[in-house]
Amino acid sequence: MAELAAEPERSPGARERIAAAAIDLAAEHGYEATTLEMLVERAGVTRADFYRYFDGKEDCALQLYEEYLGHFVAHVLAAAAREETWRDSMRAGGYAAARYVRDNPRLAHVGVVQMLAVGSMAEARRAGMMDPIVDLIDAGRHELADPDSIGRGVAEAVLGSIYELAIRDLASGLGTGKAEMIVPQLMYVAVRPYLGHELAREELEMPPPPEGDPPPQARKHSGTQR
Amino acid sequence: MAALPEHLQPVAVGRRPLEPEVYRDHQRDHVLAAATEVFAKRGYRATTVDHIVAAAKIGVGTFYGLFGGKEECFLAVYESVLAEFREGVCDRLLAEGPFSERAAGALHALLAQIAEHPLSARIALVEVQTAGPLALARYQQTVDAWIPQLAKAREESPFAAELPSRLEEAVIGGLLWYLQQRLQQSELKDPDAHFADVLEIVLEPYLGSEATAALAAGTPTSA
Repeated sequence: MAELAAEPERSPGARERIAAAAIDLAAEHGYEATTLEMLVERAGVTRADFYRYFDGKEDCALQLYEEYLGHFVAHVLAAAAREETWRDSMRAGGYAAARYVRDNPRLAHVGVVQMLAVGSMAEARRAGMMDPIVDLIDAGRHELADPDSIGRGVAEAVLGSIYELAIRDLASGLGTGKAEMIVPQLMYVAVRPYLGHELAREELEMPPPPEGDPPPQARKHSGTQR
Repeated sequence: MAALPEHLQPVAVGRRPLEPEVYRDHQRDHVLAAATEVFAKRGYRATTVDHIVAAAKIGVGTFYGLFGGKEECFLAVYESVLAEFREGVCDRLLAEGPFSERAAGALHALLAQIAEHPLSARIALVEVQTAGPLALARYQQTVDAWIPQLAKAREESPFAAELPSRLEEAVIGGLLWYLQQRLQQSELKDPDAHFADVLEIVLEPYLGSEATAALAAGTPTSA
């Protein structure tokens, strides 16, 4: 108790350091094997610092998961929002997601593979937070002559397809560097229910869009970037 | 040989003590049934051996005589649940007729099994993913085993040559996600309500929308 009183000031950046250490440890040892002792030691903070921000290990995992997943979803939606047509926005979102995974390999591994160990709470949050992405996919229904001929369940399944391929590649450890390579296949799966086989097939040959924030006329650009 | 075939051997009549193995198997089944319910309702992580022991009304010693611990018990539950599901689904898949019709039958059987045994379905689709690395690997193996089965749909596909190479993984992932989401919201009570969605997810990519609609309506497509 005396220790708490003796430390009136928060260590600057403690929460950020805990977050970074938590991701690193979960990537190195797995969620289950990571203990609070390991976490505070790696982060260079006290237990009191930790308990200022989190109720415990699971709370820490869930809070960080929500933050990072929120950031990821916002990043994907922002990329999608820059495009005019549904199909272009799907492709832009897909590449934004794949490049995020490529550029944040540890985060992606922990978020997709290790968070399974946290169980149904994480599952529930993921489902809710992924809703805007399901909305984006489900908007493909407006491409149909009868938008009610396909249910929202199909859009959810498309998200499941994406998740399945991501989890396979990430769990087998070869995922992140090659994350972009599965986008054309996933685009096929994603647009096919709404646009049909012929248009979906074009996606298999479509080059990836240029990196970075594309200028407004980026859609004219056709150079490949492999 | 002089020995009679087994079915002609004389059989002792009257009450006999159960063979120890028979008793053990019976007890194991009883504990697995209780554990299925506990794991499904509480979730794997929140379940303790004490919960299972209390639900099965057995002693802790009996539990450890059957299983090494919670994880081993869960893996046994998972296998028993799979066997239960496999029976109905595989029968339909191995029946006579074109693959698409058999697959549609198997998917309907799967939805019916889930509706009838929601707790088992939770084990097979949701809890298994959170029950540690061994269970996750076993789950992935189970999923993988369906890839070559589903790939047979390519033989009936008018687009066979143009389908993406990883379509099966994507389709199965989509189906699992769909079922998991519905199960979480306890929405899988009526198999018919989800049949059209499931066909759209699993078979439409191979067959196209018309043939899939025909399957949903239950009318076999004329080739």
